[in-house]
Amino acid sequence: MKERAVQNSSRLALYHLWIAFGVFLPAVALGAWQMPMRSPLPAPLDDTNAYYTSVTLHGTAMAYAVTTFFAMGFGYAVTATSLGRPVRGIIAAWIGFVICLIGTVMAVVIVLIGRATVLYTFYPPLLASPWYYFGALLLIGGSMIWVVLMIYNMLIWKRDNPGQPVPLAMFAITATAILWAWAASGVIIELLFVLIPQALGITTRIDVGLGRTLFTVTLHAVVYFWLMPAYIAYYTLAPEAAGGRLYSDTAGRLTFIMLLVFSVPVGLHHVFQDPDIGAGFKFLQSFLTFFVALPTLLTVFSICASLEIAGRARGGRGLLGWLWALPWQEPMVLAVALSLVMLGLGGFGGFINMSYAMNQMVHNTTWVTAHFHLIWGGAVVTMYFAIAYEIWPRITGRPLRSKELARWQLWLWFAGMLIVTIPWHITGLMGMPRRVAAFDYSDPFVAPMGPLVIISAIGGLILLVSAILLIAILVRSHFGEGQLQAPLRYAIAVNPPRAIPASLNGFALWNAILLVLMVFAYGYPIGQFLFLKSSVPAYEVTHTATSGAGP
Amino acid sequence: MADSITNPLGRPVSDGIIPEEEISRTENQWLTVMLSMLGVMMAIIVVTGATQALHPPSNVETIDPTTLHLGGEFAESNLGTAAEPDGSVTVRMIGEQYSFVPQCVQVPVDTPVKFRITSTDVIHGFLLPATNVNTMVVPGFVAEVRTAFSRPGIYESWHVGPGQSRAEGAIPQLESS
Amino acid sequence: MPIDDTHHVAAGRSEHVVAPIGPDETAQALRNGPIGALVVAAIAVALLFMGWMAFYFFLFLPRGPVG
Repeated sequence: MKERAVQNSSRLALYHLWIAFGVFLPAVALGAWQMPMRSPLPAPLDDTNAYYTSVTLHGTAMAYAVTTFFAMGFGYAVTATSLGRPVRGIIAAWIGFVICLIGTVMAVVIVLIGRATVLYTFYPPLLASPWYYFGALLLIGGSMIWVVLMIYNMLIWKRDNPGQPVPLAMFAITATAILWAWAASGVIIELLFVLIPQALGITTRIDVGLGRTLFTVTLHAVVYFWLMPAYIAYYTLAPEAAGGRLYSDTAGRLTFIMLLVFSVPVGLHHVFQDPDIGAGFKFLQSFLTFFVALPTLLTVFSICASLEIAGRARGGRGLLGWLWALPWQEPMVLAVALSLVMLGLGGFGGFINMSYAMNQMVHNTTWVTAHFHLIWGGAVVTMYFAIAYEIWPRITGRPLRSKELARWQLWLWFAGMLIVTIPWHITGLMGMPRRVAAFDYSDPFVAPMGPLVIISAIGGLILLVSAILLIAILVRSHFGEGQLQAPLRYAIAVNPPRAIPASLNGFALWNAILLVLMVFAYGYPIGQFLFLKSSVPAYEVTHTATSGAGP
Repeated sequence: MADSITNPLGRPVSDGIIPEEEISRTENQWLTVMLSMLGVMMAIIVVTGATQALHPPSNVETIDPTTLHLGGEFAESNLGTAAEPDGSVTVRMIGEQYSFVPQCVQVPVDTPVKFRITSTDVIHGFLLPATNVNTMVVPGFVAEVRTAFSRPGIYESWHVGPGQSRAEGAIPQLESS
Repeated sequence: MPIDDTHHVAAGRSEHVVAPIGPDETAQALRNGPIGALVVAAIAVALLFMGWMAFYFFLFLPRGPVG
């Protein structure tokens, strides 16, 4: 009975991961097509409408579907393995899975038939078919079941283990879930009160400023929703894979707490140029954004320290000898290093973006596209790969087909992502805009950007090869020869905590602080729309370019 | 649990392999250095922002996009460059799919320029490469960006927004002289 | 490899946690503190800081005022 329950938990996690990676590959293919499309190179299906449909689909799939399903699947796996017992509420979990799946399919189909080319940021007053918004609502809303289950499982474990520190991985995934709830509130309110009423014809004018401001609540925090599973791997899986220990369990807890508190009240830094928000609140949220850099800066040091323990234990000598001594043949170890490099580069871009007026230099240019591809597509997704390589064998009972292939796949992804994003950073500084389907490369102003765009298009092909390789590895491992696998193992800290304060073992205090911060940072920016009369007509997106219609 | 009462945000009690105080001290030192670095960056932003008037455009002013063409500030006859009594210049433009009106604008060098732009339909982005002029033009609002051009020449602008390509011949230009 | 009896703080069951290295090896590895990590992290952050300064003063400010 117990074993059956454990199997159910495992199957639950695996199904989510199947969907995540199943959506990932076609989404990469779309991206790989978009790149030559907007470059001087010839591309198949050279059509502007198709480009924007692809951008919407690629963005929606990557930003909402892949990430949410991955987080949910990983969360269930972490719950079962770190708490050492099956996930409680398994029926609710499956219901959530089905709801999210239906929502995803709805959104994908509607975008494919050209009724929702509004990009994954929705871009009001552009208006998609209500089915798109309902699909998004089901996907995002359905994941709230997962949020509740993470919190529920952590709470009953605490009830069953009074006074004990919650295992760090569980603490962290619950922080992730709570963060997602806070983050999703913005887009859910926007869907329910701004977009869907307009799409259904209930309202005749749409408040673009309100829609955008609500969406910013989601827009930054969601990237930390994506990032936290990667950080969980940094803190709880990588040190063990390297053969060492986590330097500081407390630093881990503080990192996830800081990510929770500081990811949400900072969204306005995505709309520094918007004419619907005043400078004071833009500056306040820029100031707060500096604080969300702190947990990452802390993580960089803590993880290096943890890896150093492993490296020195393996015989590394001198100041940096521990680096070479690490077990680089382990995909998890290689992934952490590649991920941290991309985190550094992408994080640098983030610092530029958040520095208040300096954002003027890069907003709406390909610099921003480069930044989030490097951070999410690079640093975070690389850890998703590594997590998949750890989890799949543990659940299916079949070993990873080839660690060498896995390493190749990781290196290819790393190289491809740098080749894609470095030219984009440069063209961004040259002023090349994003969200544009075609450029006239004979124009002397645009011409110098051409070679750079071609280079990044080549990078896109490398990424596609890597993505195909990833799926091939996972599929072959899934159907390979069976062998007993050791269970998923978590790192142990140098000083495993015996008793920790409630503030490091739960989230009541931090939710309260976040609530205060949100009222402070967003109260007026959102509330102002109650008296700012700024509603405008909406523009329905259809495939035919009739006047007044969108792409 | 008693620990959490007497030691609300304190460190774990166990003395472990390495004294936890040592680990905490190292982490705290690193945190302090990081906070200092962030503080320096913030200070630079504040000081340069205040002394050199560097802000993201943040004028909040509403307007009705459906009546723009009927008259008022953004009537077609009123678009383009206008001199102000105080010597500065105001440039009024309208963003509509998929470009800006007027296409060509002239401004004087070394003079405060104020762009006032609004949209008749969807969101547009107005970006002058090699300058810091970059704003979102949101229907329902007047976007206002202030700058000064120290370099004479032609500035090609970008009209940014989903659903358009940079069409040949429809390149908004700004010439400063 | 001895597993600390506090294994449950890394996971709920001992099978889900392993101490690849024991307390002695850990203490030995950290006898000089995490000096290597400090060097790597410090270099990375220093590069980030200097890059930010370069961008701010040599790329952003020369592009002119905005407000």
